[in-house]
Amino acid sequence: MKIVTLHLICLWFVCVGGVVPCAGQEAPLDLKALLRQSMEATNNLPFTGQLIFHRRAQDQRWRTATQVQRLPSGDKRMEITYPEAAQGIVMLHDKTGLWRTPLNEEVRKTLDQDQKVDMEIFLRAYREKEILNLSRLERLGLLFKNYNITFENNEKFADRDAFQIKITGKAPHRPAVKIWIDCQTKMQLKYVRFTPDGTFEESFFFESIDLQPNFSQSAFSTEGLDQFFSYNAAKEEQEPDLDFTPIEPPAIPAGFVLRSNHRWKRGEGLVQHSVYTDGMAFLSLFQRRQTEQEIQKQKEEECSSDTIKVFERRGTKVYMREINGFRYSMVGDIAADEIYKMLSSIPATPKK
Amino acid sequence: MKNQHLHLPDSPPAGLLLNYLDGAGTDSERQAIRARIQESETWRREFAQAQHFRQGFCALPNKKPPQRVWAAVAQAIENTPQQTVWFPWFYANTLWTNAVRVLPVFLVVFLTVTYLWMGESKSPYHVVVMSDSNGFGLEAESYVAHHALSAEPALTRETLVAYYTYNWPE
Repeated sequence: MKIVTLHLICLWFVCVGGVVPCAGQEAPLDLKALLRQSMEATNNLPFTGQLIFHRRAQDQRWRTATQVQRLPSGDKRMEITYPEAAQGIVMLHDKTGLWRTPLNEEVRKTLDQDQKVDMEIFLRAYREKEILNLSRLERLGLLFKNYNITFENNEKFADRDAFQIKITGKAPHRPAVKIWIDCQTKMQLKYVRFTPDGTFEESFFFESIDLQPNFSQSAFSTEGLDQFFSYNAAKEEQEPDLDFTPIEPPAIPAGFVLRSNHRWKRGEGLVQHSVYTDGMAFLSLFQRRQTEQEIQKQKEEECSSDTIKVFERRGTKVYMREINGFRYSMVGDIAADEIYKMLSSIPATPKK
Repeated sequence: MKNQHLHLPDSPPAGLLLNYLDGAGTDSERQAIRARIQESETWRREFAQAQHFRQGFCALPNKKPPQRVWAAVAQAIENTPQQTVWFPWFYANTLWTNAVRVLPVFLVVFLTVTYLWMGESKSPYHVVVMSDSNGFGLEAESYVAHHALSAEPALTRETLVAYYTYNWPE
């Protein structure tokens, strides 16, 4: 009798228990299609949920908790619930523009010029991208070309059945991500990104999510919020014209393409920011004219124009080369040698 | 009951009774065989033959092999070709034998050191690590932020803005 009972328990585990995390779901055969569906679902499905964000900063980790909602109409609302210093900040994105809780005036005064510039850049970028685009994945065609997608297993997450997939680079020294995709709706429930050396970098995940929610329209009221930009204020958004012709280095790392260009003005002059991507890793090239003082200082230094200077801040390295009266700086998620090669490929012929 | 447990057949398997006479088997097996011999005419007959065979075998005289057998063995040894040994002195000299044995260890150490030495070979690029005091710090920090703001998803940017706004500690 005991043996029969044991057999029945084993049979139940094999038939039912083994597929409990994704009951009735086979491992997906077309992982590329699954990823496309998940991006579509994550960017469009209405939901409400508690979203947690972890990010590694040197030896510590930042942790942010937010309450996020997306209406069927596409309006989005995000409220920071942790840390306490930022608790209550509301970001609301509707058809008229972007709205945000006004900043404390005392805090506003403490912002230095560079931080204000960063705010401006943020606001400009905010209009262009989905407020709740969790992963950095974009240009999926490029991603499929440069990365391998593998199925890991079925797993229960945020109380929902999920597929777990892993994306790893075909070239060495590339970041990797793991994504948990809801079996039923294809919504991305969790996203973990690793640096090229395999250490944890950042993670988003839903602590709880309701994909058939009842929304409160009052939550989407803009009363008491500042409008940071309006879709009608296009004139204010124009970037300044450059006073030089930006260069595109001949040696771009394999698999990377130019994604976007932005321009803005710093104290030292106009800066062109070019962003390159291979679908997951990003690479930034900043170029601007040297000031007279910088040219003079470079002459006094023993370093030649072939020298690449490295500066590290918050665990991220910035590479800089000065040549022909221009300063080229790079930041990226790839190996230093690839950045050296790209910077060194800038020709030493003078530019007009 | 015991016979059922051991499944003894109608006639004894070959060698079973001889092994029994030699004292083989566990107590329960031997007891089962004894019981089978008592109850089966076939088993008794086979047992008597086995006893007779064993007595005859033990009574055989212990004779030495004739001289021609030893001569054949010696001839076979002489006809076996001598094994060719690579560098016989390796085997004759204990010092060399030990040296050959540790050779793989030296080889691994040599390859490791060579690999590490090559890894530290000079970069083709002239790279200088800069400090905060050279004037590039603020600009570099700004570029890190711009890179992060442009390349990361909205939520990350939101976190960064909160960081810059409220000056969260790292």
